Amino acid sequence: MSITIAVTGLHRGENPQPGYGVIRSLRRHSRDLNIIGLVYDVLESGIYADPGADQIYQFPYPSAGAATVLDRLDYIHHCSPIDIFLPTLDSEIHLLVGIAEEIKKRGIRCMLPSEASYQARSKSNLGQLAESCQLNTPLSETVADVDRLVQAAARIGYPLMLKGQYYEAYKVYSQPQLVDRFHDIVLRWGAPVVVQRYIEGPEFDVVAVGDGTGGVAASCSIRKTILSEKGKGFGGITISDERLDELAFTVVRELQWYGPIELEFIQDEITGEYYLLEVNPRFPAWIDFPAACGVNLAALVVEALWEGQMSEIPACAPGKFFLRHSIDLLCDIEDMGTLASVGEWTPLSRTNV
Amino acid sequence: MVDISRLQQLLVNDNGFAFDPNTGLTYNISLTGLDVIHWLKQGHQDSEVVELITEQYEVDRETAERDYNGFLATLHSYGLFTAGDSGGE
Repeated sequence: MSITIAVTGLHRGENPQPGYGVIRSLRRHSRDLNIIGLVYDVLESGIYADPGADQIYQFPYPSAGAATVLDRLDYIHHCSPIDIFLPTLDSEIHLLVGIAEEIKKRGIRCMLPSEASYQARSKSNLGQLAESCQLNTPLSETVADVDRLVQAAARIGYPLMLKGQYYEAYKVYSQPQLVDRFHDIVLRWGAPVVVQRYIEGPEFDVVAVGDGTGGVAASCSIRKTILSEKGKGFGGITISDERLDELAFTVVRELQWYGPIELEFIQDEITGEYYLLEVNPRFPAWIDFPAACGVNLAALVVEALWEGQMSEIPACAPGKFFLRHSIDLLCDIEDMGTLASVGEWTPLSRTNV
Repeated sequence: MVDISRLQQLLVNDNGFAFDPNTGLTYNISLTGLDVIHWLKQGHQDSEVVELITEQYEVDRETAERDYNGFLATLHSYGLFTAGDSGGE
């Protein structure tokens, strides 16, 4: 029996989203899947990539509100009954956590954390979370206006990191640059903004799936080997560091996290201590890399939702690495036109797959 | 004596390319360094390694000791071993 799975976050550009990697992981796992891509923009590149989704539907931005999102979900669910919904973007998770029961009522299975878990890992609560877990995090302050921004920067000192509540992070060296970047982030992602002490050192990332009772069903730890100008990991290598894994698992345990989670760390190059930078409520953009190594976390989530129990899989072996590789996709304006005007599109090459 | 548990985990190929699975760092190691790591992994003591260097590379003991200690310092700086109580020879 074919399972229908809806996935968001299909763009793979300068700031790649995890959804297309999730689809690739699922395709690795099984050919007998019907995958629906839910997109916010007709230029999300994963719409046109192969292997991709079997059907594409436009989806309203979370800012449109719960009623609009549920209306659209109902329409899509009516056209193509959805068994499992895998959201992959920070900006949509909070809204979905709030309507998780509504989604469940429709017979759509979704792996989402509780509201309390979701809030406890937010950037503004990171200090408290780190304290509960007895681990380090860079000194941070959350600010919503320029006066408090400047005061926080004076306390923290330059250079510092300025981070949006969902996306965007800049290394800032001076007050004029600080104010400019603050306005850039607020314009794009809204307030508040996080001012964080800058720590020099290599960055590490742990992706895991929490079982909701404090356990970790699967994980993969990498050292980021290439960082883009925006600080995104465009290259990484799997490692085996018990100390890092224990820190990450402590956070998952403290949060009683249910579902995909990404934990970002930096290692102080002088002291060697790890600092928790961010906890993201979703898979990272490099999620298909562990799947290619045999640790398919997206498939694990689907299996758990479908079969009602979560199995455990061993972590990735160290020494595998990925490099992000950009290619140009050939697309036809007619396809984009159909999606833009009708709001849905079925890629012909994948019809009846 | 030195603690070489991290060195034991180091994955090294015949050409001297090494990967530390603990940190994700990679290194290029000279052929001499490769021999030294090999001997240390086999459990040779410092004095034995120095002796092996003098035999293998036809250098005097003073040169061998200097180069060996320099190499150990490099390994130490990358966290690949920690010196024990005696601090080696």
